[in-house]
Amino acid sequence: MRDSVWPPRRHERGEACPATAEQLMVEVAKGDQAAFERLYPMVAGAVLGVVRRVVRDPAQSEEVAQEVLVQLWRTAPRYDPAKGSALTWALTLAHRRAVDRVRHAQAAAEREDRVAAESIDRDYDAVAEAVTANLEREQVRRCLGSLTTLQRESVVLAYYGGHTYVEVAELLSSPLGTVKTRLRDGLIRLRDCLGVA
Amino acid sequence: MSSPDIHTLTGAYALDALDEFERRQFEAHLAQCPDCAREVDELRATAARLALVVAEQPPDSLRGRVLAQVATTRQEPPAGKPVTAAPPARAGDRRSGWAPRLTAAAAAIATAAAVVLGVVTVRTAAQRDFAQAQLAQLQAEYQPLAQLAAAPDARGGTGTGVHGGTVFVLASHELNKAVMVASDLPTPPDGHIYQAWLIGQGQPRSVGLMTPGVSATAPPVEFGGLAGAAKVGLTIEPAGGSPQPTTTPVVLFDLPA
Repeated sequence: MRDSVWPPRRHERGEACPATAEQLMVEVAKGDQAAFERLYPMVAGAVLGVVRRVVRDPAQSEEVAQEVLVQLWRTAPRYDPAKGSALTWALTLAHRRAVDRVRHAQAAAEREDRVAAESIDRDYDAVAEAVTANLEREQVRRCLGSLTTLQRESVVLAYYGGHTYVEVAELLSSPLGTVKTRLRDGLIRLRDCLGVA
Repeated sequence: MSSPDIHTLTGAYALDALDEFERRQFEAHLAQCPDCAREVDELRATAARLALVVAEQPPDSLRGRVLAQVATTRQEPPAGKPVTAAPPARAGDRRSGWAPRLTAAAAAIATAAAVVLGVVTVRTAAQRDFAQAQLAQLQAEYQPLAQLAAAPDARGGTGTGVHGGTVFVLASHELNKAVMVASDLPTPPDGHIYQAWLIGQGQPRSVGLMTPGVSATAPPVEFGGLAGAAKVGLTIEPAGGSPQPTTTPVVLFDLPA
């Protein structure tokens, strides 16, 4: 689908050219829209997925995902491959923007209701349920399982729930300092388990 | 920031679990802490793996909207902020530029102090801890500047970077001391830093290293040994610095006398 949809560009010279997302970003940074069209299917699904986890509302999630993908185009010249993969960059933009959306959009009282209404179990179950389809998911599931309960709950609530660590501490009835530390050592354990360079 | 506690925030930061206030504080810290920045990069890559497992099939309509908007959206310049030429410091105007800079430092200290003293309402104890750490850091950083500014023969001078940004030097020959503050210099290439030099009759003498990053202002560099020096400059050097400049200065101006 990818190669048949878009007209071949000058520098492709008819080759199959399975460019990586990072190579495409180099072209995108020069204003190459065709390269962006090829990059789009590599990142859009994960961008929308993470935004939806945090924002919840489907229509708003699509709106935020659109903003993120356009932001990816707009800021491509600032992408530094030394700081991480293009996918990580896109997902960092996505998570940040999703979190900003829920934190700004909701009045403080409304937000507290949301915090109170949410259950960690539901969050974690939803993830566990999603985490089944393939090897990648199997590995993430296994690695999440290798964390302590408090590490896992803190990471899941912060990332998928879009909560601040102050809120996470409230939700888990744990001291702030403990949650701060668990977020870090939980992620570090996850990093080592997943073999993230 | 000197508090060892702040390093533990890499996880919360990578997960966007800091509120806006702490996020900004931590980003200022990140600019000074390459180890933290590396850890943040790795933890973000880890968090991205959590996003991958919840990927879903985006509707075709989204693709259409994104591509249409992209076609009419201008990209940002690579540097991260637009390069605008700062007005050059006027020759002979020794005090140009440094008074506002001191005012800015004073304002930053006042803000942090207000938070610590409870003048500004803070939501959490964590915010207060941050403000306290920031206040201590700012006071430590700007103390030499305040001391120098009180010297009767203190003179300031400002140079404009060829790629934007400004460098301000406050010098007292009587005290044989000077302080350099850089603002809005572009982030140097990866693995490089800015190195400050005093240039006189002989070889340029290194007076310090600077690493501007996320925050616009790097901590001040304090130095002495002003005798015989005529100019002050900054070059981009490999991390760790060089014994002698290896590149053309990005800023070069007369040492205030």
